[in-house]
Amino acid sequence: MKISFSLNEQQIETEIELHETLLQLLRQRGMISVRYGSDSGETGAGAVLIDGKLTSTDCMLAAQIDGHDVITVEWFNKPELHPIQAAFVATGAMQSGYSTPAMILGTWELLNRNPNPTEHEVRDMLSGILDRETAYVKPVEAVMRAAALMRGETNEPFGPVYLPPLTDGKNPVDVSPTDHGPDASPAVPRVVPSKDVPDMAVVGKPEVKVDAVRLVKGNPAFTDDFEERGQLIAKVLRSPHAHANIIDIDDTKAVALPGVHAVIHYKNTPRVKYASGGQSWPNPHPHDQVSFDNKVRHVGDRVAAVAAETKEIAQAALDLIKVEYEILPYVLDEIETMEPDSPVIHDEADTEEIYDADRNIVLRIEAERGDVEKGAIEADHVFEDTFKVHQVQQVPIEPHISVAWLDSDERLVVRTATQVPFHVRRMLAPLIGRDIKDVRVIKPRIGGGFGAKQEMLIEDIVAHLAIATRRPVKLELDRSEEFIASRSRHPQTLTFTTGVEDSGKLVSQKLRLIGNTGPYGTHGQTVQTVAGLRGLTSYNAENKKFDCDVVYTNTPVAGAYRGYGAPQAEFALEAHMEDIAHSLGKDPIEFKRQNWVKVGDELNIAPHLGERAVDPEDIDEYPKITSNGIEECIAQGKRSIKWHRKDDPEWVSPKDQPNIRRGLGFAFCMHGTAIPFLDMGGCSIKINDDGSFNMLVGATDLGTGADTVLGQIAAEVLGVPLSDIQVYSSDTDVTPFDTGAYASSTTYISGTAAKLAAEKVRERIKERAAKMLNIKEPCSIELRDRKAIAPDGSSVSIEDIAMEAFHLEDHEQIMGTASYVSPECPAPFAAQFAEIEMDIDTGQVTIIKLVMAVDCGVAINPVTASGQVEGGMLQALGYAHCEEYAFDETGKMINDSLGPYKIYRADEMPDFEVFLVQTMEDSGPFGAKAVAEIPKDGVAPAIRNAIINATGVAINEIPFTPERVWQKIRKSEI
Amino acid sequence: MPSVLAYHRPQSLDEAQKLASEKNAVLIGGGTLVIPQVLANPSSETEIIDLQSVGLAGITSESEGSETSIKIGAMSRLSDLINNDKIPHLLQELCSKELPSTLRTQATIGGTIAERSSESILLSGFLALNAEIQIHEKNWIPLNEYLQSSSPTGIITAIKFSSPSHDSNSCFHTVGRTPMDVPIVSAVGYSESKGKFQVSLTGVAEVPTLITAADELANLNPQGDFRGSSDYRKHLASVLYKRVSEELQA
Repeated sequence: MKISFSLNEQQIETEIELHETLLQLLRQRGMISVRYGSDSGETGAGAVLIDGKLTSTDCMLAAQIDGHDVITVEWFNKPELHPIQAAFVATGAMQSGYSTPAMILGTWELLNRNPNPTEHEVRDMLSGILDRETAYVKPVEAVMRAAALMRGETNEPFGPVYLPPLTDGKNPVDVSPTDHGPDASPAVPRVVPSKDVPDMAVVGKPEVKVDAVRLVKGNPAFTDDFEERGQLIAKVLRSPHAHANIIDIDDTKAVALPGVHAVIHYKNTPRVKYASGGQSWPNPHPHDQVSFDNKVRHVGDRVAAVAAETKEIAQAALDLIKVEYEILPYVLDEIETMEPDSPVIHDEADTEEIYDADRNIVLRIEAERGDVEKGAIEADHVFEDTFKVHQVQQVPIEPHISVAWLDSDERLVVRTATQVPFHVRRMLAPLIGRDIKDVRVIKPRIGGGFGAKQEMLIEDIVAHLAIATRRPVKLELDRSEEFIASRSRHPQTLTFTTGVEDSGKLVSQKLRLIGNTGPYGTHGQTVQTVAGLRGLTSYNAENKKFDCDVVYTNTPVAGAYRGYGAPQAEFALEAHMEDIAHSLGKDPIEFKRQNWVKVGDELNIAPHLGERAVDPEDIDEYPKITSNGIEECIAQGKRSIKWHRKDDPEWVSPKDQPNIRRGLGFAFCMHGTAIPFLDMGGCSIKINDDGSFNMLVGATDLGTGADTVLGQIAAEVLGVPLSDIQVYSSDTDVTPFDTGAYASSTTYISGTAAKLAAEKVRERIKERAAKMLNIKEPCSIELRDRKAIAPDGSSVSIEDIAMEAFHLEDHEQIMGTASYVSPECPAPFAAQFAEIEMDIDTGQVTIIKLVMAVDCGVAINPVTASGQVEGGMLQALGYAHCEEYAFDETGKMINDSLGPYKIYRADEMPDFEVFLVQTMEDSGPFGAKAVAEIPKDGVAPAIRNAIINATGVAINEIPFTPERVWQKIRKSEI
Repeated sequence: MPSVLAYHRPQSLDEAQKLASEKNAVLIGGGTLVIPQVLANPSSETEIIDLQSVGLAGITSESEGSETSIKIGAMSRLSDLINNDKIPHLLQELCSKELPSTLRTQATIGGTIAERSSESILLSGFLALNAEIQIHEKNWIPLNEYLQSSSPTGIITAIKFSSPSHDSNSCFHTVGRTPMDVPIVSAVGYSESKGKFQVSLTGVAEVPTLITAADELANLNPQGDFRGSSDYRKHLASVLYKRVSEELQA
């Protein structure tokens, strides 16, 4: 069919396929800012202006656009940024930037219609563009600032507001109810500086993200933005059954379908065992997966894959594959699966190191320090509580996508949206019978990952198909596949048993945990051990024990999800500690303060948990807390949330609203920073003729701002502005090794590698400068303002040094390469506060405000750091409040689309406020600790504890959906 | 086997009606719901009948005596209602709740009516306002009659309702997982004059349901799902009905 329409004010006449969506048409015509998020319009990532109105393109046929006008963000693109684009850049309003073009278009439409919009109107405009990264805080700010700019007003530069500390850093203070704190936009990070942290030129400054321009212009950045010539499309046939043996597959008709190039399944792919979790070598056992098996273990499990000329042909071919199943009983619950009559999920002979396959127990994890049973006997009180946490999904707006092809040397190249390119290369090679040297993995920008892409999830499928067809092959999951065939957070049942003295001091603490990994182990071991670590290191007790079973079920597979076991454990722990405090008649914060770890305290069970756990006899010294800003965090948080209201009965039970109760809640949060002795990052820096630098890092920026932060660290060392550092990540052929973006490691580990590499370059620059300036002591020279400056004030520019090195004397490439692995794991701390309002007649809980004050050491970039906290709290809010997997009676997920699976959108968000409390962590680069995962930890328990404040009712299961809450409160006397 | 066998954009209702009688023909307004369903089935061989050129868009008001009637063409987008002064504030709010910004510019009133979703709060609002709809070549019929009929056919051309008078009152209450979630149960109430009101509920039956007296609540037998069991939905219906009725009578 031929259509005619206006695209960015140019009249287009083109032939289209009848089934072609507008999104497909626009991308084919090079408008790659229009991005795929789903097939039904809910994500808004592919929204454009149609006849001037912001409209989703993925649920519209291209044919419908005949005669209409379309504007994409490419229309804005000039050498200079449009004021709207500039406002998004200045405020750090994009993280991955995957959906930023749609936001910019929506802003343009709104401001044309209404030059002075309210925040409500801005949020309504953004309501159709889902964002898992920014929590909409900075995008709203960007729109408001863009509006001001377009009205001809001038904005103050965007950056943090610096607050005087309320405490001495060690002792608690009372916060005055009349002290309302800073009067600043919620998007502005509140930074509480530490006197221990020196002022620096680049570090600690709100530098603009190094990739900001690329992202606001919608330039090619993501995996799907680059197309290989002759690319085929892959689709995967997935199991309709929760548990079944495949008796036979007949692919005859599919293979015969014109346009089909390959069909792969268990009969024609090698059976090589592996574990798909993107982790360091050797990957934890059991290796219980193969590319294609003759058994399926969950609805959505792989059965076969097809490569064809088009998506439609591939889909049609799937329908022609005849599969004969023997349907087996299934089990979804982590307790039930261990019962003797439960179906055995892994009955194959070739999976080794399953702890008890007959009872579906993948492995047992036990660790103890002291004697927890004896401690409990000696305690004055013993408390035991059990908690249930559920399955949720990461929901990156960019789904999993990979493209594989054979290059001119017939090496296999995979461009893929992954957090772990080096792990993918190592894990993929044996599955396709190649050496690592014959595989290259390229990671472009990623449209969100959150752990879902810490997995070798689909790269083997495109690799098999590319080898089979000798053509480039692309596979992109749809939204349903993201839910049922990607990865998710582990459901768990957690029981804490804690012995307490009359004084309130903890004597013993035991955590019994049953973790549901779904039908494959992947991250099953490590997530549960981190849950044990986080659950048992926040509070001091001489006797501790972790007792864990990791079990198989027939749910969709669990894996890595930002927080990695900590959100589950900290929900249970902070709820348990809250309840103990109430039982003992103590103030919860005081009770927790009495017991939480402080500077100098040992993390006494930590070394016995984790991938490299050690026995007590092998330890000379236990790791200790080296910095802790929790008291300042609490003071700032209390002031922001107006903590004094929780004891005001008229506020809790407003007289004019008899069905309403209000509450405030608190959670103490402690996380880790990287995995000691395991996480490793590498960095290579070289100078250019003009005194700028290329920096190659293996670290993967998921949108977190890692490239920017690493660049800032190098720039600080080299005495140049960030704009002189060109950051490139990551390509296994080109960049140094890095374990990848996980475990809150990038700033700390890869940042230290960047600092070390920059220091090597700096030393060489100083040596050459000393010679050029006739200075005897190179170490006396400083690098700043793009110059090497001697103590006598004489100087030479770094550009001149580079020119001399390349072209005049003692020719050399000034460069430095370094890598880093840490023996330590310094803990960031945070105080999470929540304000809620609940309707006691319906059970509906409304979250009014979330405040997090974080001690992340020195925030290298306070804008990106606060963005991490905002985005983390958003996901944590969903975990606590509304997101959940639901299954039908056959084990099929029934809410595998956005909407039924509810994630928060811009027009329903609570207020957010973020404080960054500086401490100086000596082991981190320029004092930095981690910030990415800790905001996932405290929201659920803070909301839960706020419900107690509101109603006195304790709920030990999340999410706090209306009926669950109502069922609890109807049994109480409120 | 293509998912879309043909795409038609008729220029008149008669042409559309004729095309719609073909095998596998599907009418679309904006297509927000229909297109993803069609494309998900690669062998459906659907004939798409796109109504965008049949002249059904537009919002008009007509006065007869003291009564003013507002008529909304079936191809009007939900966003058109939000931006039109003739539309009562209640319906504008319900449009915002019905769909987010990027979908309400595409979705049409006609499509929303034809879908007859039990969860449509916008449809519930029209129901509370005693709206009537017109089907091509047929007389106006009450929206409630259309919703209650087992298998309605024909092309919806418009919906109309009496413009609320100054004495009228309206409100709505919802319960959902989040403030803008599709409500588990919602109640939209409308009172033309004090003492007389009706309430429309979503989430308690196969289509939005009109309640004119509290004792009708006992007859509800909603189907439960993971967001709310049948008993919980009945409870919510009772709570929200009471709230709406009290607010309208206050």
